[in-house]
Amino acid sequence: MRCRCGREALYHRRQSGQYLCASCFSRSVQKKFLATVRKHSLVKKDDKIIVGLSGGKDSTVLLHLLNDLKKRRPFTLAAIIIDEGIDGYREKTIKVALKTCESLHIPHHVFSFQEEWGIALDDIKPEISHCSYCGVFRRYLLNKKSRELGFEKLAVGLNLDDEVQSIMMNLLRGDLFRFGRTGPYYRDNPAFIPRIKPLREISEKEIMLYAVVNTIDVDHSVCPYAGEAFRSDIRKFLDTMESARPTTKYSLLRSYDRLFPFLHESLTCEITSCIKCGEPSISPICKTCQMLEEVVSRQ
Amino acid sequence: MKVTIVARTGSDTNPITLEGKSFQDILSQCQYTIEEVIVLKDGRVIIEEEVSDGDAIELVPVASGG
Repeated sequence: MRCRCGREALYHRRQSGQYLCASCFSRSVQKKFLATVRKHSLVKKDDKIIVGLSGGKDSTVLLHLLNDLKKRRPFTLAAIIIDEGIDGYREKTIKVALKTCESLHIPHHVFSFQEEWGIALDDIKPEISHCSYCGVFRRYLLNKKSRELGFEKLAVGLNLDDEVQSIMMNLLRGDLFRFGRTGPYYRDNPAFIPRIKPLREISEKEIMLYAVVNTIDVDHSVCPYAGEAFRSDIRKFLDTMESARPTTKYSLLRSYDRLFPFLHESLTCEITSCIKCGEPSISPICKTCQMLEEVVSRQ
Repeated sequence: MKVTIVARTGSDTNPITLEGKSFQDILSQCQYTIEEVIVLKDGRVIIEEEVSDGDAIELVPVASGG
C-alpha cells in the first residue's frame, strides 16, 4: 500500500480510509494535537503548564508535542511525576520519565504516596480494586502539588480511548457528577488547577505508533493492577465495537462533546473545602481523606 | 492462512504459529482486536492487511500503563 505522497504506507486509518507513511502519519498526529489545542484554547502564550508524566507512551508523547509547541509559542513547561508505590512497575516507568525530562531539558518534580501519607499503593488492602484508590490519590497529589508549585494548567495524557472509556464507565455506573466532567475544559475554580487534555482526539493506537515511528523512548509496562479495573471490560467492549465499526469511538466522543455544555451546567455541584485537609471537595470530607481513613482502619 | 507470532512485546515471547481464515481471526485467537496491536515484520511497522501466509510477525500491544 502507498501513502498519497507515494511512500510506502505503514498505517491504515480505518476511520477515514487513508493509508499513511511514517512522515505523513506523524504530521497528521501533530495536526490533530494542534487542532485540539486551538479548538479549546488549551495553551496560551506565557502559560505555566505542568505535565503529569508517568514514562508511559501517552504522557511521554504529550511532553514531546508540548515541547515542540513551546518552540513556536513560548510558555513554561515542566513535568510532575507521581510514585504510587507499585513494586516492580513504577520504578521502571519513573526511570524512563526522568530520562525523557533530561533529554528534553524539562524541569521535573517527583512526589510519592509514601512521602505524602506514609503508605504505598502495594500496602493497601482494597475491598474491590487498587485502581479506585490510586486514581483518587494520584489526582489529589497532581492537583495539590501543581497548584503549590505555581502552575496554572495541568496537562494530562488522556487519549481518545481513555476519554470514551470514562464516558461509558460513568454512564454505566450511574455516576452523573463525573459524567458531566469528562469534557475538554472545566469551569474555573481557584482550588482546582485546570486540567487540559490535548491528546483526547488521538487514539491509543496512534499514540503508540507515533512513539514507535519517532523512536520516542517510552515504557511499555502494564500496571500489575490494571487487570482489576472495570475499565478493562469497557476497553475490550469499545475495541471490539471499533474493529467492526471504525468510527465508534469518535462518534461517542463527538456526541458527548455536543452534550457537554448542558451536562456541565446541570450536573456540577458546589465545591467546598475538606474540613480535614483543606483541599477542594464536594463533601465536607474529601474522597482522599475518606479513603485514607478506610486504609488505616483496615491495617 | 498461517502466521508465526515471534514476539508479543510486554507478554509471552515464545513463538507460536497460528492458523485462521484471516489475520483478524488469528488476532482474535491471541485475544486481540485490530485496535489493540501494532504489527512489526522484520522490525518494521506494517499495515495489518499486509500480513500474508507464512509471515513471522511481532505484535506490540498498544495498551500500557494503568
